[in-house]
Amino acid sequence: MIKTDLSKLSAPFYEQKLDNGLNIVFIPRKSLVSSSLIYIPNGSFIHDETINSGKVFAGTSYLLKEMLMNSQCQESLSQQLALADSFIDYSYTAFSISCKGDIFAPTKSFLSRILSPKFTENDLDEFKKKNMASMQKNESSPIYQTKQGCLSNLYFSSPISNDRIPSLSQLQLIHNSSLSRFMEKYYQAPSMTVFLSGNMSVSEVSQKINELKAPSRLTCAGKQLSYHENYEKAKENYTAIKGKSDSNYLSFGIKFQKREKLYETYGQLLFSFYEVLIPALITKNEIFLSGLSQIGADLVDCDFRQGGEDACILLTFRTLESTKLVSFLTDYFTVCEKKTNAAELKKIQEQYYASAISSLALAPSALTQFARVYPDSLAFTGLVGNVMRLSYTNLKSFLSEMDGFVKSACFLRKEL
Amino acid sequence: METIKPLYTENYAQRAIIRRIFVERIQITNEKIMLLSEVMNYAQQATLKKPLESYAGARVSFSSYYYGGGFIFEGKLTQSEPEGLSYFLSDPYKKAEEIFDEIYLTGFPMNEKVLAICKDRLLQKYNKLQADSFASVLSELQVNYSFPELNVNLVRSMTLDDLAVGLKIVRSSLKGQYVFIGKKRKKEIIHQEYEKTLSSLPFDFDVASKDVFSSSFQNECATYILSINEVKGLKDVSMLFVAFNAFSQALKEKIKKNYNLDVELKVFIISPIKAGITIMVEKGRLLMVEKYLDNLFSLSPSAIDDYISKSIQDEKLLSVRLASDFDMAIMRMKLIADFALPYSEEEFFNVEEITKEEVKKTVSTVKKIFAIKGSFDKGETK
Repeated sequence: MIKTDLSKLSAPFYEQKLDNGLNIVFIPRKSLVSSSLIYIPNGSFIHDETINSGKVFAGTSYLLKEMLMNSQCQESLSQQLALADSFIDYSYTAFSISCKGDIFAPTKSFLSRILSPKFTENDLDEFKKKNMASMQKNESSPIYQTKQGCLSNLYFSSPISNDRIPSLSQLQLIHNSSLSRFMEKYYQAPSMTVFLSGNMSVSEVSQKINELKAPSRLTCAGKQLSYHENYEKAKENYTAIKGKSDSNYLSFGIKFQKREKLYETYGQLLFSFYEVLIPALITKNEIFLSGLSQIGADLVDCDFRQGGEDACILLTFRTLESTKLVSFLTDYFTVCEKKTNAAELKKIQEQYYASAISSLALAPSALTQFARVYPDSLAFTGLVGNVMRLSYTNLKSFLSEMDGFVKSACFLRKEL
Repeated sequence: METIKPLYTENYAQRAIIRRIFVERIQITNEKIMLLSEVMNYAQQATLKKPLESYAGARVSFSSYYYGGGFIFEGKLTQSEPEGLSYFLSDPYKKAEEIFDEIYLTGFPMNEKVLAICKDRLLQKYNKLQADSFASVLSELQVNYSFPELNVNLVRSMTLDDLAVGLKIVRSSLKGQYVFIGKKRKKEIIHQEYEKTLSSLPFDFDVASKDVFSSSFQNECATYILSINEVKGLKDVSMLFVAFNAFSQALKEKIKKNYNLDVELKVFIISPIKAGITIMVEKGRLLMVEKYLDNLFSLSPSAIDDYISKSIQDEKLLSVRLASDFDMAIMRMKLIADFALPYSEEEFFNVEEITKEEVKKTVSTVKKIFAIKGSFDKGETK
């Protein structure tokens, strides 16, 4: 296994590509539990229009994740005293397993489910039926409605405007055949990565990883999804909707420039900006927070989304009225570079570092962090080092560029 | 002074100091103590002059709840413990303790806007709880950790001066406790001294509690207070949860079969000799299953036989959860602190072997002593 040590965090990691193409990353930790995380390089953001002549619907990756790591699977892994879970973001899907003993046995069990999936159309129907009520509840929540309203305003066609979890109507379009086609394309050894962590030696791990099996490479035909997003303007600058709610809500969105363009300018620095942006400008910014308190608005949700070529910040507030809040936010985000300073950045870097140390201490959270930044071809420990080296001058130049990013808002007025 | 035996572990690379201060009911109103913790939380977010982050990512949060016939005002300070990275911070721990003390002295900003926001936040939380019959029943019972009943007008009329008085009362209380999780240090953690242990407080429920009716409820519930064999250690806690979880599963399936109704069950420990179990149903459905539920107790060991093995299996997974989740470890430490349970690090992280027979024996000692319901009523508003 090839060792890489990218920072002063005392967290080197080891990599190896197996003969079947499966990529292995091992992070030794003194944690009481051992963990594995099976990483699939596709999440809620749709990249395909068709796979093997079948249409790809939003939510396919989510439903597939739910079918693979269903309660039956979790139950069977718990027999091996292993805790299992799954999660999805726009760029990846992850299945995590943790136990206090040998992590390889439950990991192999789960990989065997990927090798020969056992779910049927009936299982899908059952899942849809079982989750209908909770999904309806989620979709009718004022925060969800306001956020979706804002995303519809912000984007013309980007799939980033879909939620991580599909809507009920999207879910109804997906059948077993769609899941099979999706699996063929994305659940194959060369595109998958298995992360491992725990109190194990490198030699022990390098012996056992050869027992991990995953589907072989398959060539899939299909058409990539192409969409044309306009990064210079929003579809709507502001809309107002009505909804059943105990308060008024406002979502404010910032559409980032195309990733390709930003990457050309900033290179890997871009991802360090993304790590500090939210605390620097929003959650830890005293100017922002005291500005909100002057207006009487309360930040209730803060979402940073990245997928494909798109990224956006979506802020949701509980507020009495919208005009003052929209003016405050518009004014605030048109001079972003003046809202923070070098001392504030240092504070944020220190907290980021402290939180990285805590995450890396435990095998499950260490793997979650590694998986989170893996879509950007980064190792978490390397990213932490980059963030700690980030200068205020660099951040300031990105913030100045952010001033010109497209913004939009959606206001939900309570309907009693 | 009471510092519960600290849990010394490097597993989480984090430390938590929890300062739990007991305040008598007669000294402070529900509204004042609840709003005070809200305002103190807000102060930490927005206006504290000292950057807590510079002390190994220190974070402080506050909460208040019913406890031992009065209230607990709880402050929680968490920090990372960077191994071999002392160059980064010379002595973060000492500094953290100073910060904690300083926060109680500094208090909160005397800012009317902040107060207004905090009132909204508190009432927003309260409104959510009022829609939940279970939370309302817990408030009515006034069991430990429950959210106190609030008078909305009193919250609205609260001033910054009222809260300053509240903070002074909290600060001057001599009853309290420290809970600590983190790496072992050369020096013991010493804070302000408290004279009385929390475990000596009367843990119980208000026997005068009456069924709760409200038009705000989005669900309904039946809560049963049960007498249990005295909990003397962590194994007893595990056995109790195994027994109750098996019972919950059995009951869920029976109700589904007989009434085609999905129910949710919640289990809670009130004191070393009393526990509660709540069955929650959809709004308007309680009447349908009420009689059936009332006849279920006491628990019959044979009724849950099929579910015990699965429940024992679930409890074993607790050790994996505990070792992976710092917040869960904090909750377990608080339970240990509540009942002054003896424990070792080994016992903390591992669930002792439990047999089916032991669970059955635990079940056979459970007796119903009180029942209270939370029902939807169109005409009544709580």
